[in-house]
Amino acid sequence: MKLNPDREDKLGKLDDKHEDDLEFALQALNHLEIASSEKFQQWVDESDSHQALYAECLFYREAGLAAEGAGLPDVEQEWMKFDPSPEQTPTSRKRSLPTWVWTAAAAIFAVALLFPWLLHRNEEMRLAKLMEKHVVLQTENGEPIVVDQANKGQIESLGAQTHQSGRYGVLNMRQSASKVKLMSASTSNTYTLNIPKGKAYQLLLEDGTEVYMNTGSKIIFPNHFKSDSRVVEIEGEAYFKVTKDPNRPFIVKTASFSTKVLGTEFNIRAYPQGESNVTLVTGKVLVTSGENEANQVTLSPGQNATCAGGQLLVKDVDVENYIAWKDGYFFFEEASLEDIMNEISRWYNVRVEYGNENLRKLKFKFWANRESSFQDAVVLLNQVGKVDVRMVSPGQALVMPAK
Amino acid sequence: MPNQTTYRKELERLFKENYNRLYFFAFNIIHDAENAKDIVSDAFQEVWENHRDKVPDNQLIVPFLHVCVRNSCLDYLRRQHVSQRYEEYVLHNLSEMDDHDLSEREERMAKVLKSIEALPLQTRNVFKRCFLDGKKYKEVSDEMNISVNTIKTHIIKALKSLRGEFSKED
Repeated sequence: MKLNPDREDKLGKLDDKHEDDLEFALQALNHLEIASSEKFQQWVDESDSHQALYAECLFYREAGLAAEGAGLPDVEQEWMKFDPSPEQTPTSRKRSLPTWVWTAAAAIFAVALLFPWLLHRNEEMRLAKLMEKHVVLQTENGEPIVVDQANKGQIESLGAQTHQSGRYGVLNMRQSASKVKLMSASTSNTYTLNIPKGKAYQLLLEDGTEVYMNTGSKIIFPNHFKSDSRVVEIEGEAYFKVTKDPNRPFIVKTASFSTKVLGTEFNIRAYPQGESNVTLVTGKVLVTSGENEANQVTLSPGQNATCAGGQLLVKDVDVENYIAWKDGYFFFEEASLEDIMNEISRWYNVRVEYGNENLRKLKFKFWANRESSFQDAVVLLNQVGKVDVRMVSPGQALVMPAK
Repeated sequence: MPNQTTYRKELERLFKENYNRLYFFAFNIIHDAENAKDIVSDAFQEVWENHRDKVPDNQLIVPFLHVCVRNSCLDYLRRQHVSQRYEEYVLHNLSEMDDHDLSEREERMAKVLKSIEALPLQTRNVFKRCFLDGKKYKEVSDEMNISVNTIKTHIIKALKSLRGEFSKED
């Protein structure tokens, strides 16, 4: 009688040859330091039969513990320890915290007593909280200004204005330089505009350049550009419509490359996680990666440059894939589920977990309206029939294989 | 206000039906019983905190519990400074959570359990020391006062009957 012929094939026959393997697997079974050792990992990688043997041993250990009885946790007792009876709050669970938590708590308390400047962290945390929900403009040394709420006084004090244009709220900085000049001696200020998850916003720079900022992004820009160049810095994704000025090139810097233009339309995507892209819609741009001037490419309309490990790779693309977000869509012609979920979860601010790792690499064609809900996007994804995305709670989704 | 009694009953059912499986899922990764128990209780804690008025469907919550446990195990491994390579191994080999063949697994477990019960006393003794206590063949040989070769024979014999094979000698 054989329980599972497939498994049998992988394991091979049991004979003297396997005795050493077997003892090794049994050792790893009960010793994390052996299971996680380089030697054991190499052994497992060596052949499928090793992996199968180890899995088999894990299974038998489980059965063995059940047979002995003594090795099993007492579920009844664990439930008693856990049981959240009505009068208890979740934090007052009966199970005592592990010692390291107390040690850590004591350490934190001591540090807090010693360094009152830690109170500054409070301020930082307040700002971080604000930036989770709102479009916030940070000045070099002033109070952060919430841009996407009625806040005319503060915004006008910078010589700026806000208005609505289609689906975008707009921060207009066109007049800021000249107006501020009248009010104070200092003329050049640097600002940082932060866009939270789930929002997109438009920025109008002093020179008339329009910047569409995608979700979870930020841009650092001056209120007044220098006479020989216009430089901004971004993290995240933005679409630029640069005002033509042959005397002052417009330069966008990101962590891994910089893009130089005279007047044109292009999209830049440079989130901290995932690959970085520059996609040209019209005109001409020069992309330079890192410090190395030799590592330069010139893009023509319809071309995309990807930056991977300091190298720039150019290919012809369907531009629509890269800029659909600007018009309020998710659009993926052929993308991995991981890339799709990264973008969707950034927009809806949902944490995504995968039931198994292979799911991340599945390829999808996907199109959805960003103004619909996350649930709507999930329904569309599930309809493809490859995965079963489930909402566990409002902020958490779980990807499982389709049944 | 949701009915607390019903809610508590549902939570208790969820806890009891899934505790052991989640426990072994964690135990097989971290090989530490006490921490495995903590990790599983914490996963239920998360369910309780996120769903105060209703226990979600099994189909939804069981895979979620698995993910919580897996993530906590990975955190634990990081705290123990276990190699990155083992983490990768866990992710790719020990954390499958397709909930399709559950009943098949249970059936197989029941058969193996029976086979263990049926092992000759001496073989079962050796099996226990090697599989459950993590002892080396040499240590077991000293303890039981039998040769390492005999230990090997017992282990192979045990494995064969757990697999449902019967060797020619028997």
